[in-house]
Parts: sequence; structure tokens; C-alpha cells
Amino acid sequence: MRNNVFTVMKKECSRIFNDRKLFFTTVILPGLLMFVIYSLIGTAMQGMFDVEDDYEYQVYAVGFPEALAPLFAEQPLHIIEISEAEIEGVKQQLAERETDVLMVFPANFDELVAAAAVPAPNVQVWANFTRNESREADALVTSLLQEYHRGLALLFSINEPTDEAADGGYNLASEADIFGMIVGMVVPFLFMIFSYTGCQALAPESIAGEKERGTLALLLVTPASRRDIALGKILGIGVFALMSAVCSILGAVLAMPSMLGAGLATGNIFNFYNAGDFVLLLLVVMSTTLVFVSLLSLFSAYARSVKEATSYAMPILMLVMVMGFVGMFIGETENLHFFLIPIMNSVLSIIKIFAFDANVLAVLVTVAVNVCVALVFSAVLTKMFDSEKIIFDK
Amino acid sequence: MKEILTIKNLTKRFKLSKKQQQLKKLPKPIITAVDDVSFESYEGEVFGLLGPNGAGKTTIMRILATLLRPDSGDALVDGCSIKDEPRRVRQKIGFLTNELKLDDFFTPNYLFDFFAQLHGMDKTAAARRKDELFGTFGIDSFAEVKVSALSQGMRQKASLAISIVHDPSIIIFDEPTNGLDVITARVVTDFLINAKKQGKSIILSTHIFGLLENLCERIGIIIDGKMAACGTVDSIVGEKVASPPVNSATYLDEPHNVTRGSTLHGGKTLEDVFFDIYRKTTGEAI
Ligand SMILES: Nc1ncnc2c1ncn2[C@@H]1O[C@H](COP(=O)(O)OP(=O)(O)OP(=O)(O)O)[C@@H](O)[C@H]1O
Ligand SMILES: [Mg+2]
Repeated sequence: MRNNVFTVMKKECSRIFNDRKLFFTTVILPGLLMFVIYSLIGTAMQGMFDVEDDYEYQVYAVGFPEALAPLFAEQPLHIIEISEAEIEGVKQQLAERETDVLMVFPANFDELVAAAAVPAPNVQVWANFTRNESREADALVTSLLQEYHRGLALLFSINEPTDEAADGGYNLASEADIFGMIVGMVVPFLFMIFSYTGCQALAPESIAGEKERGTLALLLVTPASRRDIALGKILGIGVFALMSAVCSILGAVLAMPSMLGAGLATGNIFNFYNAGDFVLLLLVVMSTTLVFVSLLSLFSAYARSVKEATSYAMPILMLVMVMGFVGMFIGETENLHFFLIPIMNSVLSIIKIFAFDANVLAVLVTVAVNVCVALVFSAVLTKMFDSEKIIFDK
Repeated sequence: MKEILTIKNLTKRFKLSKKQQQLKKLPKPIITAVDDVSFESYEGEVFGLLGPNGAGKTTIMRILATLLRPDSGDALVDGCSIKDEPRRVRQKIGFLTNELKLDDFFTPNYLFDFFAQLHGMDKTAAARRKDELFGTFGIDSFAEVKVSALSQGMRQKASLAISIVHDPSIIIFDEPTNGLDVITARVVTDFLINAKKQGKSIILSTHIFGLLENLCERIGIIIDGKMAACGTVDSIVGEKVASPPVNSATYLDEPHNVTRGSTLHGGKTLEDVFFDIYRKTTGEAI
């Protein structure tokens, strides 16, 4: 009787809707957290690398050669020439993050260069990378020195700005590609975790809880079949776990623009992905959620109490994380064999979808595999409901 | 009189874990919880299973409720075998235990509808049944209150009503009053008296002698999984003197008598007889 599946499913759903606290913590909170965490990380990261626009870097120099002066004058660098005796003092200041950079040229630098002396003269550039200004100044000074070096012995140049490609324009990745790559790296893994924890909050109470309270026995003496009860429970929990997963993905994706810097992303991910991508994504997410729910249901049915069921959840989470990591490690792949492995296939599929490389066949394989796994698990759950050892273990 | 329950040579063993085996000090990791038990009960009668802790009462009740399968033997519930037609058996029985704790998040009303649906009742039949049960139990006043906010007595009333949504003709009740406070226990004994008045066939297990003596037509004494004595209350207690007739005002009007201990039967109470049998069977002094 399909009807019974629906009845049981409806009850699972109303349990969560009835319990505002549970609803908030399982459905709303993960998404909210993802959004807040990622927005904060994004803002913090921008602040971390930022140096104020009109900042003039403090550059101490020993034996600064005249020939370099015109090159350095073009940049916001304030050169302070010092004697060798003062080196230690400046290094101390650098260590205390009070100044930006120190250059030490060997005596007679110009002559040594002109004579192509062997060994070649060495220029030391001291900085402290924990100070943003110092890190930036180091990069700037080093690049100026390299430019000077290249000018001395020009064999060929690399990535000189041309009409065709302005500064930095040699990177052909589009804004969308970069976005896709980063989202693809961050989202699948977090989705796995949040979706899993969503299921974990629901399954133990729903199955082990009923066992503990004795209501499962009441359920099992109704004429409803074990299979209907098992399916109803899995689908009921699944609906909520899915809502929770979708919310957390949404939270992460909406926070992406701020994570990537407002300059890069246009702020609306719907400019990047089309409806087809979202349909595929939803299919993958749904099927993965079913795998999680059915897996956790098995353990909840096996456990004697809610507490025991919750204690099983942690090791399974580890397993899920390992599968997720392996998937991330493999990254973008066309090899369909990888898509036969549940959980990992979801990570792989999501990476591909976000990287604008959705492979419909791979997604279909993923969904088919996951649905099969969930069906097998629910068949096992049905058997467990029928097994007296499981229901009345002492 | 129609035989409503026929229990034939029921045997049930459990495999034990090492720990359980040590705990029970058994030579083998197997316990025979129910050992070749046979008895029958008749329509409209109350059959009481009496026995010490671990005797196997709950196991027998669960087998009758199709929650456990016997290793051998069979039971017919209103003509249906628990082994071959468990689903038909489930339609005929209501299985109650005091271990049942309803979900906190739901109202009695919701749970009632939920179980009515699983029992395949149509809406009008379910509504009629709900009116009837909520009326007799006085659930109407708290039908829309979540279980978490109900008192013990209210919860018990709700559990009872929900366990018999489908109006089963046979009620299987494991330890009806065990662990309940006096007021809640009263709710349960009132329920049993009422069910008996309505002509339900009842099988219950209990430690409480008074409940058995006043309510049961037949009694089975289970010790260590075996049926040590079985028969009508009179045949077990022996010649009886001034026993209250069934359905008498003694307990219908004063149901609290039911929980209060034993009536005299020729000088010996059921309690005395039980301890005699227990001593004879186990060889232990009490
Ligand atoms: N699932 C199980 N696994 C192992 N042993 C069990 C199981 N269920 C019951 N037993 C054992 O079978 C025996 C009979 O148990 P049962 O619960 O039927 O007794 P009871 O008469 O209901 O006792 P009580 O008065 O304590 O409720 C006990 O020794 C019990 O430990
Ligand atoms: Mg018991």
C-alpha cells in the first residue's frame, strides 16, 4: 500500500515542522552558517592582503646604485640610504614589523656587474611577510631588480604588455571559470558534511528513538508492511535532509562573491549557471541525501538507543569525509568508473557541474548508483524491522 | 464457548551474547525463554499470565502480537496462525504495554489519525471511533495538546486509545499497571474492566494477584518459561468460598478493589497458591 509509505513519511515531516528548534537547527542554521562563515572568510581574506592605496613603502638600502634610481622612482617607494653599521638596527625593526624592506647591495655593485664578475654579486632583500606592507614591498622591489637584471642581458622577454593583452591579460581563464573552479573546490565537500549532519540530526531520533520509546512495536503491529514503514521513514527524513542540503549549498554559493572579492564576481551566480546545471545539481544532491539517510537509518535501527545511534554517526562521518577528500583529489575526471562509487561520485559530479563541464551521462550514472544503493539499504532496513534481534535486543 | 486463542507447544529460544551468558550464569549461550507452552482462552474471557521476572511472559505476548516468531509451536488468534497470517492477526489484535511512550512532538489527535490510517480505516470510521474513545477516556480536553505537555495519566489514556484505534476484538496487554502510580494504574484497570464489559477477549500478564483474581476467568502460571499451572481461577485456587461473581458490583463500582490484593478462597489466596507452586517447581524457598 503506497498509502502507508506516504502516511509514515508525512509523520516524519510533521515531527520536524512541529519542532521549531529542530527545524531551525537542521534546515535553516547550516545554510545561514555557510553564508556567514564564507562571507566572513572572504572579508577577512581581502583585509589580509590589502595595503592602503596611497601607501609609500619604506625601503632601506645599503650601497644603492645610481643606475637603479630611475626605475625605483616610478614606484611608491621611499628609499632611505643607510650605512652598513645600521643594518642590524633595520633588521630589528623588520622583525618587529615596524618597517617594510631592506636591500643590501655589495660594494662596487655597478662595477662588478659591468665586469660580469664570477661569482656574480648578490643582492639581499630582507622583509617580514607577516606584515602586509612588507610582503608587498618585497614583491615590488624583487620584480624591479629582476626587470633591471633582464635589461642588462636581454635574450627574450616574457608576457610584456602588448596592445592585445594588457597587464595580467595573458591568463585566458574567464572570470566565470575562476569562479567555477573555486566554488567547485569548496562546495562539494561542505555540502557532503552539512547534508550528512542534517541526516544525522534526524535519523537517530526517528528510528532508534521509536525503538527506545516502544512506539516502533506499536507501528509494527499495524497491518502496514515493514517495507512501507522503512520507505516512509527514509523518504520522510530525506525530504528534510534535502532541504537542509539545499539551504547550505545556497548559503555557500551566495557567499562566494564576497569570498572572491566584489571586483571579480558580478554578485549573481545565476549569470554563470543555467537551469540545466541546477537541475543536474539537484538530482545529484537528492540522490546523495538518500544514500546518507538510508545509511544512517540502518545504523539507527541497529542501535539500542538514540545515544548509541548518535555515537555511530561520527565514524560514518569520517568515512564520508574520506570519500569526499578522495573525490576532491581526483578532481575533474571523465573516467566513468569513478562515478560508480557512491558518495565519491557525488563530489565528482558537483565539481564538474560547477566547473561548467557537466557531463549528463556521469550525473545519470551517479544518480542511478546512489538510488540503487539507497534501495538496497532500505531493503536491508525492511529486513531489520522484521528481525526480532534488532527490534528486541536486550 | 468459542476458542479465541489457541497456543500450541510454543517454544522460543534466544541466542545470548557472552556478556548476557555470564550475567545469567548459563552453561550455553542460549536461553529458552518460552518452553513448550500450551493454553487456550475463550471469547469474552480474560486470561492472565502470572510469573516472576524473566519467566517469559513478555516473550509469549510478543509472539502472540507477531513481533517475535516462535522456534516451534504455533498460536491461532481467532483462527489465524501467527506464523502464516501475521497480517491478519495484526488486524484482530491490539497490543499494549506500559513501556509505550508516545512521541513528545505530537498531539493525541494527530497520533490517533496516524495509526487509524495505518490500520487502513476510512475517514468516517476513524472519526466515529475517535469520538467514542476520546469521549470514554476524556481525551477531548487535551486532544490538541502535545504529548510533552501531558500528565502521566493523560499520556496513559492517550496510549490506550491509540493502541485500540482499530477496535480489535482481542487485547494483548503486557504488565498493564507495572511502574505506574496509583492514579495512572487506575486509568488502566478501569480500561480493562470496561473492555471486558464490552465483551473483548483479553490476555494480560501481571505480577499483581488482585488484578488477576478479580478480572480473570483463567490463569496460567509461568515459571522459567514453562507453564507450571493453568486453568480457571477456581481450579487453581481450589475450592472457593464467597468469591465475587464475575461482573459483580464489587469491582465494577469500586474498581480500586482490583488493585488492592487478594480475596479469600477457602482460606488460601491466589498469592499463597502461587508461592506453593513456585516452591514446588523451582525447589527454592522464598
Ligand atoms: N531479545 C532477547 N535476547 C536475549 N534474551 C532475551 C530476549 N528477550 C527476552 N530474553 C530473556 O528471556 C527470558 C524471558 O524474558 P521475558 O521478558 O519474556 O520475561 P518476563 O516474564 O516478561 O519478565 P518481566 O516480569 O521481567 O517482564 C529472560 O531471561 C530474558 O532475559
Ligand atoms: Mg515482561
